[in-house]
Amino acid sequence: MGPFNIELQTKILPLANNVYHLYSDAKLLSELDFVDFHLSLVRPFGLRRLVKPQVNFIMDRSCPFKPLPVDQSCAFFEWGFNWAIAQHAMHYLIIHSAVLEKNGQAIILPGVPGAGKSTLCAALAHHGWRLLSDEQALVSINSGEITPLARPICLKNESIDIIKDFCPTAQFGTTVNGTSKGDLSHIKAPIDATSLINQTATPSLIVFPQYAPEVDHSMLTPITQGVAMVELIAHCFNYKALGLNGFTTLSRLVSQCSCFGLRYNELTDALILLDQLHGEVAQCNLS
Amino acid sequence: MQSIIANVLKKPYLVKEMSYAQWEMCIRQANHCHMTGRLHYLLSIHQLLPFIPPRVLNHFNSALVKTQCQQKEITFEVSELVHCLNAVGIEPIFLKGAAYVISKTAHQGRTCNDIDILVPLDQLQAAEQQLGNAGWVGEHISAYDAKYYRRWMHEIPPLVHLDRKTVLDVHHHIQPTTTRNTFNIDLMLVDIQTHKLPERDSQLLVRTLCIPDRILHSVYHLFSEGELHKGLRDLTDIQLMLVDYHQIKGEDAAALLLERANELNLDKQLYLAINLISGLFYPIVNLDAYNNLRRPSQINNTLGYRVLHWCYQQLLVTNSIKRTGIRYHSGALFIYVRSHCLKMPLRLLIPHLGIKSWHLVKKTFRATN
Repeated sequence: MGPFNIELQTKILPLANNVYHLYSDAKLLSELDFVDFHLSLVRPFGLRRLVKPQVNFIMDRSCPFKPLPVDQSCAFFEWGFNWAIAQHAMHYLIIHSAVLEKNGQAIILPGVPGAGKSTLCAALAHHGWRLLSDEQALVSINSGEITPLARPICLKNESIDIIKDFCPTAQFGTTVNGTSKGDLSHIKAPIDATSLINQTATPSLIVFPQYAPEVDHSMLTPITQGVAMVELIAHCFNYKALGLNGFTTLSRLVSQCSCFGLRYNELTDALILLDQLHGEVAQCNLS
Repeated sequence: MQSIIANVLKKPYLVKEMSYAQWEMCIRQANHCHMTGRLHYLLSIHQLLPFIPPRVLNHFNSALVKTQCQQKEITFEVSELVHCLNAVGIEPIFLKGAAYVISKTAHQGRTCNDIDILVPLDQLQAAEQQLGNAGWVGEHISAYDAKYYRRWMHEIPPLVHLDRKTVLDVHHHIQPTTTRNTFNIDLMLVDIQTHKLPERDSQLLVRTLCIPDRILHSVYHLFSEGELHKGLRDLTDIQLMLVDYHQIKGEDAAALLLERANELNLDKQLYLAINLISGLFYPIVNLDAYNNLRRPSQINNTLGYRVLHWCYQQLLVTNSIKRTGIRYHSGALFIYVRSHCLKMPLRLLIPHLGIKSWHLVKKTFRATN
């Protein structure tokens, strides 16, 4: 997927089927390719095989997480994959955010859980924007460009039905109930995201979305680059580990972007606002 | 199955011709035994970095970024700990990883997940109290485990800093109190080395064991552990410390180190380490002097020594990702059983294992219900 090649081993059939469905557009590797991460999801031996069966996420013989119920394998694989990237890709500054692109310009949507980042991301990805990533923005330390991952988008609870209505073409995977984050389901990355996976994008917008059902109408509020910078530090997976490189990469990113807060009560309005904003920023960049 | 990382450590120039599949296995093994940063350093001293393909180099660089960050944090924690404990008149001695970072020996590409300090037994209670005030608290462990630690171990249960989550092991001895052939810890405390931390506070004096004792402590540790998860890394630590020691002491280094090992009753272990290093690694320090100084027959020819050497050799060169084969498993079992027997006499070990398994069964049942 994007800059990473992975190998997944599992005997859990529902997981295999789900991965096969959600990643069916990904390139298959040959013997000669370099595999970055060897992941496996394995049911532990012993008594727990029979009573409330569990599953372990394993990478290179170590289990970084406690086991989860076997029904949650599909979610566990995605979380484990996120973890592997965040731990082993220090040539990127990795921001916990969705990223999409239009006309070469990328929009970064960082969000705390529940802010509606993935819902907005799924809506944009099916309405004219190219999905780069739903969970992790990979900002190159060297160039500042954003590298696509084009992995499935993770939707939680009510967003699952909202997106089923809003994006009828979205292809859903298995729904996993009762995880620590509630019910969740992944949707497959649209075909343009996977076919253009080698095209990086230049970041030009940072928008902090917040789903706010109580407001009358959706609105964008400009915020200063300083405020955006401080906010973003908290959203980075590896800012601390990167030290000075983390600071310079993030400050360069912020200085080349216009920064906004978005409070939205309705997806249609939010999409119109973001499309307008993208048009204005693109024009500014031209003139 | 022979591991690729063992091949590379023995013949580093092999990396010039390695395929992607071999690099893949090499990185996986290195990550698994905490050697990725260290391997990068060893390849750098042989000017072999240009032969690492860019895709693979990303993995090495990620490991380096992480070890550098860890070492910065360790330096910070060390200065905090020294301030904290000096305030009540305690001068802790830093051991293992933290000591390597402070003394800048064997720190290259070294991972350190926790900090180990040594305080005299009569100051242990005061140290715990003071550390508690500074936010270092014990994690929840069962009453049995707590009692076991206090009664038999050389350290108290690990402390974790409330805010920073750093893990701290406070030792009052180098070995568990139940160990056979206990060595006199006072001997190690005579020759303490002090270091400054220019990055943090140039006035602060930080104490570690002197280099020969750091070497011997690492040697002791390597051969008393029951599993060799980080064995290769520990052995390269020893090799790098030997390089520095030989540079400081010149031709006398071997004689001085052997004398010290004799005093501490660790000469057999030192020989084993030297033999493993010369057998398994590409030479970066000349170790011939150790064999010339003392007739190896006195040690090398006993059956026990040979079995031990064979077992460690098997374990250290086995592919840790795909462990297979009777040789690996017999070696692993031998070392595991041996380490337990060394640490505890059987009359204590058997009841202990019984109680531990009973607790495990109870826990499993509780979790399933």
